[in-house]
Amino acid sequence: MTETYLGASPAAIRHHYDVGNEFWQIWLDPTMSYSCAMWEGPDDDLERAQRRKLDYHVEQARAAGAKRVLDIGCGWGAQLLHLVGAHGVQHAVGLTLSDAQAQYLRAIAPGNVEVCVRGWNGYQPTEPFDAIISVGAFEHFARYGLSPEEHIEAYRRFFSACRSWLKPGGRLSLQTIAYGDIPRDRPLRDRFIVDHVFPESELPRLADIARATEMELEIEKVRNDRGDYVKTLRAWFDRLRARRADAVAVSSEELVERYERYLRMFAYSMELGAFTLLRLTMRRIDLPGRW
Amino acid sequence: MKSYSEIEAMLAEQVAHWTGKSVDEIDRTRRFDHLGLDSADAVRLIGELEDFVGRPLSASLPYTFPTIEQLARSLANGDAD
Repeated sequence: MTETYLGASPAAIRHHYDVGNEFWQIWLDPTMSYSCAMWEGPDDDLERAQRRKLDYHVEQARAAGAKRVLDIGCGWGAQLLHLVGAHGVQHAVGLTLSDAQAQYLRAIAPGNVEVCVRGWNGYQPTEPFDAIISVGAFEHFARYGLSPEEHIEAYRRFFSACRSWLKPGGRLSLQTIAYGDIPRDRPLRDRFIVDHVFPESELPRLADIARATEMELEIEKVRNDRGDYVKTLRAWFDRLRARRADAVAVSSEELVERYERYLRMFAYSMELGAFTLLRLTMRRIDLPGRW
Repeated sequence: MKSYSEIEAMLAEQVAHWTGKSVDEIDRTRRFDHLGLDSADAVRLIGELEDFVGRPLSASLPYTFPTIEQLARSLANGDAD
């Protein structure tokens, strides 16, 4: 057994996210949420759907009005800003491996938002948290080529760390892409999507997540919202197409082409159920005087 | 709106390109998987088709209409929307 894998390297994360903030601003919504939104009704739009998603995680993690909340993989800070701005959270801490994201966020965030350029592994908060939210980071926590046992062990280390950072009874609201209708014994022939977005990484499966939480966190709720991701990816694709020339001007023809291909392929994979979008609520169980 | 023959020709060209055959060799009535396409090719095909017909399409089309003839027919008739 090799050493437990502790997540994709900073270089791999930067490969994807440090394209330049201008590029993302062109086709993401104004909150800069680069993860699946939550859609409602036929007249919904991307920004409203993203804000609904931010609210959902606050509600699931019971983070409203909390003293301290942690966001693992905070991106450009949509969730952090929403926590302190709309839900009265006193102090919000975000972890990201991307320098460009941290710089962007530090320039716009109020004083009670703290950004750390680091991964979850080895993080030692000064005080425990009331709630943890992690959206679109879990996908990076296991590497391509690990055995199923090593996969689960890497996830278990993460859940164990979350447990130790939470106050008794505290919750983790987790959102991640996962493999769905893809056989375990037949590897993907076309790894374009996985390699494009998640270099060095391998996606989880629901059963592996469940296994890894055993004796660490209780799973309270699971949602499969892949339909939401089809709409989100289509919305991003349409926005990128609509402002294609601007996107090429701040990046390159090759990059825009790669993103167009990836957004569309990803939408198809979600539509067919090969990939799914999981939203899980987990809770730390504490029995006073347990023996 | 693209015609049946335009879509049929485009599909045959794509399949020929991926399978390394000539366009004339491609049987328009054979199932895509029997022509040598796999699920990754099927989603790629839909991406190309969306650009070709100029409207969003469902990724399940190559399964609902599993031959070049059936798929081209349904797209030309607008059944697939």
